[in-house]
Amino acid sequence: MRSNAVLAYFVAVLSVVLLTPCVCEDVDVLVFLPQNNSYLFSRARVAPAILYAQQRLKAHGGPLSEMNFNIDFDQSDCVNAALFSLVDRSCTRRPDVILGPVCEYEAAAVVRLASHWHIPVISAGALATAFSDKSSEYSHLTRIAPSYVKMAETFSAMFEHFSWSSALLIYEDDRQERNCYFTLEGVYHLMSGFNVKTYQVYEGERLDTEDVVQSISDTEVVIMCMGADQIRDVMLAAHRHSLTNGSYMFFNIELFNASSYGDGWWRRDDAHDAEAMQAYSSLNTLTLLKSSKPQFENFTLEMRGALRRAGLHDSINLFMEGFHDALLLYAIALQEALQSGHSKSNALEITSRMWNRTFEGIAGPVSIDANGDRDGDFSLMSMTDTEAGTFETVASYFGENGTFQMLPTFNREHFTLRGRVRPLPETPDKSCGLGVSALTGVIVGAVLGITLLVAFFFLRKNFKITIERRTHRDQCEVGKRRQLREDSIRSSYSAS
Amino acid sequence: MGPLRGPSLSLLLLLLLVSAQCRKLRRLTRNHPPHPHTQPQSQPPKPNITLAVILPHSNTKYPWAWPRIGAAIDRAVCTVNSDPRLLPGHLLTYVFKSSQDKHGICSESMAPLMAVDLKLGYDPWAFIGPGCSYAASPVGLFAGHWDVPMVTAGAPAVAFYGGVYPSITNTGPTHKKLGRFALRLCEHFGWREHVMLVFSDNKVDDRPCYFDTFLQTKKTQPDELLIARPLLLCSKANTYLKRSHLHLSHLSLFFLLSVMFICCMPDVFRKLMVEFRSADLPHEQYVFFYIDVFGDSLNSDPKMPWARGDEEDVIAKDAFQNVKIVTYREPQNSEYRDFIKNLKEDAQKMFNYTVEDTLMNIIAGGFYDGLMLYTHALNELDQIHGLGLTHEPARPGGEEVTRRMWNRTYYGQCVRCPPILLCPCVSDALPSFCVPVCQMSSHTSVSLCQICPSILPYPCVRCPPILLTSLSYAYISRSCTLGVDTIALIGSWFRPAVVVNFSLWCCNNCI
Repeated sequence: MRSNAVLAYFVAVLSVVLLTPCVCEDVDVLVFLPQNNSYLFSRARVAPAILYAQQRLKAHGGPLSEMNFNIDFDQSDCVNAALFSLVDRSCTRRPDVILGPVCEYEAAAVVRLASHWHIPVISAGALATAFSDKSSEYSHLTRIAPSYVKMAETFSAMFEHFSWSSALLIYEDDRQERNCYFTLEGVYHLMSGFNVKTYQVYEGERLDTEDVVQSISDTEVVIMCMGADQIRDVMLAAHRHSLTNGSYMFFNIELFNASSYGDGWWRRDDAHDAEAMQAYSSLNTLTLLKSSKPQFENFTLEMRGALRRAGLHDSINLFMEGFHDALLLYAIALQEALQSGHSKSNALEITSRMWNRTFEGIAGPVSIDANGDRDGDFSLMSMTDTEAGTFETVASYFGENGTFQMLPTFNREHFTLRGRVRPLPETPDKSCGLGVSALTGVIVGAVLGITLLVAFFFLRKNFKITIERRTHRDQCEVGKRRQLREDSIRSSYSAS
Repeated sequence: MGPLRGPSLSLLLLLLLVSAQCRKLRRLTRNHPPHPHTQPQSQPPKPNITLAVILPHSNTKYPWAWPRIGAAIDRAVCTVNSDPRLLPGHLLTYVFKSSQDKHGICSESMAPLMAVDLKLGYDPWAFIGPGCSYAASPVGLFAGHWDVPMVTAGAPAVAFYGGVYPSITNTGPTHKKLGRFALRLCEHFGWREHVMLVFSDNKVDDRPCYFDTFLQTKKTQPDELLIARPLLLCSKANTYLKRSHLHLSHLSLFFLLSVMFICCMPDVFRKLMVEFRSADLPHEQYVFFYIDVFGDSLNSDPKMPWARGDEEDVIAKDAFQNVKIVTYREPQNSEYRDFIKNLKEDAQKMFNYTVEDTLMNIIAGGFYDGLMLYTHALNELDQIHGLGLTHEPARPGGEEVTRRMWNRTYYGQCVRCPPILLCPCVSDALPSFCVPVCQMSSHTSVSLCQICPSILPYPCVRCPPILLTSLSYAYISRSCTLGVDTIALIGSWFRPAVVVNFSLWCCNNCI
């Protein structure tokens, strides 16, 4: 009897333990971030954000707090370090989820391998267009930051709204990480229906502003992604050729350094500042939309403190917010998957639960589309105060529903293309041609003139002979009559 | 029921355990059948040395496709295992994984995944392949990171030359050598300023023509040879013709570019030649070097690359008088012929694939030679240090093995054509495009420049050697067949000294 009771008790306990899904999981999180602080997504900047998310999940209570996240930071160098490190450590145990890397080429290699091994990857980078194809090699990637194609949607909306039809994309290719190349690749890819041309500048090579201006002349909209100095050079050159009079629209894309705006941007404290300010009055900048929430204030304070301790003096960027939200998103999706009976090794199930949903991130609602990419919100800034030269947000684009919202500061005239007065700007070649034809005209004129003069001279001589012959015939006559005759001839000659 | 349950349970458990052990024993004995008359019972099986092979498994468009190479590698492994002097006490085996993606093209995303799987699953001692440049690059980087040597006869791109891929040993023909050949050709004829490169690039596959021409711009003496910026022909058949025609007349007349190295598909090239011939240009002032390293355009018998059986054949035949086709040179030694015979038989048996008599077979020879070279290097290390006869022999460092493979001459199947010197041209009074026929130097025993015999209806032939006693100059329609030996001398210790020979084919009636 006693053994039966013991057995029954055993069975009851076992069933209780087995039937209620225990979410007390040990989750191995592997994070790839570079240690080099020249990157905006370096470990010193982003790690505090991830750890903040981990603490927040623990303090939240509820099923999410029962998960034990073992976060391991590994190396990344934007070349191969992450891939090699992932392979080397995966002999024994593979991670359950990977956060990062951010650099495009490095992320591609890691995501391929992770998808092959069925490990979900969430990154606040990997923004290139190629990652949108999740059908095979990037099937386990979720992008928590808006990709370049999403940024391009802003341009697409503007082109529709203002009926523009052609664009020139000017970008600098550093041949290493190629951020500007990938940025404008998104625009090129999305706007294939418009007449889009490209102009490439290689890093280290001199920027030929005359050539750039020449390329600008037969397009309507110019979209640039380059270093700040080069943009200034191009705008100055455009201003000198009077391209900034409203016949062309100038945009530049500055997604990450959203804080380096305001009036300092065109200012270099050199002789061209005034001219640059005038030129920049026709430049519009596309950036990420800045939003804020009460929780965000706390997060900002903590992050600033952590950054200062690390010796850095910049502010929150989208990578910090993104990786924080990435851990949050994974926790939510994992918990849901476990509750419906799947295990944490069922990567596709977890990944599909991360897609096509909206959740509350640290800086506001985060909307992930059905393809596993974040819908982005962007701001358009232009110079509202032409005397002080300051920039302000004039319009916003919301990616989730594709709406383009114009703020009160929006100046419709500023964005309307004026009709082209001059088809092409004067170029040195043209002026040289004009000079040549003027010269030939002068020469021809001179030759004709000389011919006329010579002819006139000969004809005059002819006339003279005739006149003299007439007077000679009348030589016999008395002097007075000759005088009279001469007078009359002279007068008749002068009359003719 | 109660008192019986305990012992019955334990008996059940015991029975289960025993049966499991029996099953295990039976499985073991099935794999290793006992040989009572050959080996003593106590001899352990030989430790394995595993090679990882990564090549496209079915797309025979590539010269390094598995049906072409597989038989050669298998034969090499068999040869090593049956030779008691090579790696005694070890068994050489290989594992194969494909570098193709689902579309059949060799993929730079599949190859590194396969490399990782092989490394984690089998811990190979060396990687054989891949052959495609884009696939070989990530595998080469991995091999460097893991310190595993990589041997390939493909990976022809110029980027593999230099320090970034220290673990790759290339026993095949590379584009750098093609570039050197072109450079020597231009130097020989004094073409310093009139050279242009034209190539087609699909940007989807392994970009063979892009790599061919790209490297040619990397010259050893940059100030001596002025090459105009390479011109890209579109792959779309309609648009490129007008553009190329425009470029031919426009550029050539204005910049006097008259020597063109062209790499593209044979049909595209033929169209270009027809366009050229139909254009109003001084035809005899141009020469085109068509880079067709595997001789795809010369596959017909008799060799008539201009013939397509349509109405443009006549113009094309005339146009091809200005054309010299650059191919790899087929090795002439008997070992190679035997190797090809064996390759054909084995490929038919193993893969049911018919290997044709094309120049692509030199890649198979390259892989065979590479594997043998690796084995010899490993063998030397074994004799010096000993690899250990334990169950897990110690793999030597990749760098050490690679160093032993470089800077040495190895006589394999393909590599032994004697060096051929370029003939000195005697007079400078020639206009620069005339190709002089040269005098044979008395103290060399090998034939130098050769003249094409007049054959009607002149298909392309490689000219047999003819002794010359006098000099004669001819226009561009005559040609020489040249070989280059400079590679072995110039090749630094970064690369192994693989002698690659090239052939020029003339397609006209020479006297």
